[in-house]
Amino acid sequence: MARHEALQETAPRCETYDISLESGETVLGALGYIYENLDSTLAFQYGCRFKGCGLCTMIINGKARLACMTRVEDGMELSPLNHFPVIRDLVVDRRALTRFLRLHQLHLTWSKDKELASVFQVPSPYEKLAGCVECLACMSECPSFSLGSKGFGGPLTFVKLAQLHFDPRDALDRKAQAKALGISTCLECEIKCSCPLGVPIHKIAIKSLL
Amino acid sequence: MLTLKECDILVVGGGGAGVTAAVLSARAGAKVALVSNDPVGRGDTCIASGIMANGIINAADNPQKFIRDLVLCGEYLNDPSLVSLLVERSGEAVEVLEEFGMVFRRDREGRRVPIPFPLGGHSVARSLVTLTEGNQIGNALRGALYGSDVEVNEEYLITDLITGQDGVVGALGIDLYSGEFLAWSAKSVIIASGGCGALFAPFTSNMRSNTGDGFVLALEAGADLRDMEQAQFIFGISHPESLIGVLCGEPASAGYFGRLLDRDGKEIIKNPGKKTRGQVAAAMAKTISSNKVGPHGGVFLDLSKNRERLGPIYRKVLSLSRKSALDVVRFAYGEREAGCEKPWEVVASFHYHPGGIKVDEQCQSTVRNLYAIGQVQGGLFGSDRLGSVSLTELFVFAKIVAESAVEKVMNMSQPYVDTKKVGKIVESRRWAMGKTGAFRPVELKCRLQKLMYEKVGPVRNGVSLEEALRELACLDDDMKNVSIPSRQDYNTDWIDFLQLQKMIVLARIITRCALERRESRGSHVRTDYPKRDDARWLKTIVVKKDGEEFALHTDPIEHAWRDIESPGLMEQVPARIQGFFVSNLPGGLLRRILKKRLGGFVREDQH
Repeated sequence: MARHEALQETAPRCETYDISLESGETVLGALGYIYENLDSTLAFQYGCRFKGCGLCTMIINGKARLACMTRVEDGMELSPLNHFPVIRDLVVDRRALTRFLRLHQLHLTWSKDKELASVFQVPSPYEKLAGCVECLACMSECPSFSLGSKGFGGPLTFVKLAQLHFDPRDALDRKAQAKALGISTCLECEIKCSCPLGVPIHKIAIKSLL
Repeated sequence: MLTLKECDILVVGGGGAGVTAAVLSARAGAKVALVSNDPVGRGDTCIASGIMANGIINAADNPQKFIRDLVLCGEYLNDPSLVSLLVERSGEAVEVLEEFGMVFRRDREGRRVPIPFPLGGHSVARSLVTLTEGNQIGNALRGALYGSDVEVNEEYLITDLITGQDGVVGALGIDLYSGEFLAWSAKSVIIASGGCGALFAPFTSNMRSNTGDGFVLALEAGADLRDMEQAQFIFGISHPESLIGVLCGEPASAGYFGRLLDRDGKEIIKNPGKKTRGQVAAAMAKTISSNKVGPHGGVFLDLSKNRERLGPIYRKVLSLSRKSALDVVRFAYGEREAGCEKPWEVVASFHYHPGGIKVDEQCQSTVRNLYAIGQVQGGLFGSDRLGSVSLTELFVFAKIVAESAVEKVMNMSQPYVDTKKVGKIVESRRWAMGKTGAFRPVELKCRLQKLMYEKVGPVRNGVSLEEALRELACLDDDMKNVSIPSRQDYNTDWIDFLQLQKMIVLARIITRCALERRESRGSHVRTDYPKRDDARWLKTIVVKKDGEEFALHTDPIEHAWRDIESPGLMEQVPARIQGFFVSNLPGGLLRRILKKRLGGFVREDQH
């Protein structure tokens, strides 16, 4: 496990915990066990314990996953998400995400057609994108995203834009916005973004905005 | 040096109630700061099933029926003015949310339609459902917040409300990232901090951040609490350990033919699908205390007869109300369990705290300038709540509090905060940092949680409650002997300690109230007083600050709803006939009827 001391600005050190658990337990369960029994200085974030809140995402054996729905195995390696400042150990700075998303008008901007207020239909792609919980796995895996650069929105931003694009109540040109946020970069990308919760990031969100 | 910020309204809590109150207040022109100990837009709202009772949208429904359902479930402890407000304004909840960007499920013409069954104790179908459960609401809330002027403070912990001559004047909090203290001067403070599942962890369906700190913040500032003994338990996963308590159903999940069995396969309650959460929890309590539980301490929810009689469409109905319940059952138990072929061993998992901060119709507590909304507010649901009304509650009362608080703060001057006094509070909160005693706070936290579940949980009686009080006193002593590293950044031990200070106070409040109420009512189930006792206990227990301690007294229930009665025999006839037909019709016909009722509700691609 990677242990970070961000405030001290020292390089992360690797710590190994040797524990024995029943099969079927999750990585989050293992972290809880370590925290309660061995080392309560270990910092990690979680909320609901299964699939609902997206707070326990971390890099597990090289890939961004939710710790609550990954079964624990021998020899696993854990580290914090990429592209976000590390606060400590496995906790990353989620305030930075809020600041980032606040820049880009990612909320419903009502069209003048108030008729739509109660009677309207959303197309089925909308529903497929609505399950995003902002777990940040896609942002962490993206080779082009960085919080510092203003140019590129990143997969989460595109999921949100696509959702608004499919929302008949929204007034803004979300395709144009996606273009300005560098969605064309995704055309050349080899990685087909994957989502731990099955949100079709590449197949629906990115394709519909291109 | 302590930083002091100024705002008109400070909202404590970043779930459904808090975000909505903050956004609506800011839109109305107030300067608003929101503080959340999790990243915003989460709380229990984002892990809710996404089913929300709406206004009267069904021809068979009317306000009186809705009121009756709420009062019968709350067993008369409900505050009548809050119930009237909820029923009267329940239609506004969906409007607020859809304006934020939510979309509830619609029919083919694009109109909102309720789920075509009465769920969770309602007598009439009046609940709307989201497309992807609670996380869709979380997204809408965050969207609304991103588009607002609210000052967002994520992952801050409020440790104290600051009081002055004229009630509450602000709050003190800690930036969890840096460990720095920060104070706000606020004309009004709205508490929207949710419930207290962390007291019973892991036996809870709640988010980890629901430590119940809001109840204690309010009490310490002088506000009254009510009905604190009440604690609602529903079905949670029993194993593996990592998933204990995660929500997998409620009585309504049992449907028409589901059974709830003990270790020996004996039914512990007839027709669980038709019973309230309190009644089912009482049956589970009895089974647990007679030790007729399964290998993981649970009882068995057997849904196989639903499947046999209704076929695959039954699972559609189940996943309509909570798809993620089937997901977690599949992950924890296996494919055959998720297919409802094999029974699920379920535990009683803490789900909701019906009691809380006592408020008036403006959501104002008994202390000036202090408001409470959402789960932390008490009185609305009395002793127990129906399914799907807690989401409605969030948005209706968030709207009400925004209206009343904004109007008030516009004519107020910025209150004075005595920084010397606040400095002393900071010192006292820092006291434990760097101590090298015998206990890590998390050890004490685990002890507290275990004792609360075993002695003040679904099974409670005079003996267990007295024991709990003694153990809580020991815990209080051990809190003086803690070991906490001296560091600022995300100091997990220190955060545990600060949360635990409030959790122990809250545990004592709940235990004292549970000991006081010598009857079973709603979600408060005493094995030594298993019956409701209207002659003695048609009253609420109120908790008041008393110096550094707290004291209890009772207030009688005097409102007209004492006359509301359970449906009479004649009224039950249609339901009985329906029940008879459903139990005796051939499976094929039943399936056709069900399909027709579901109509366009289950999407084509889900069939």
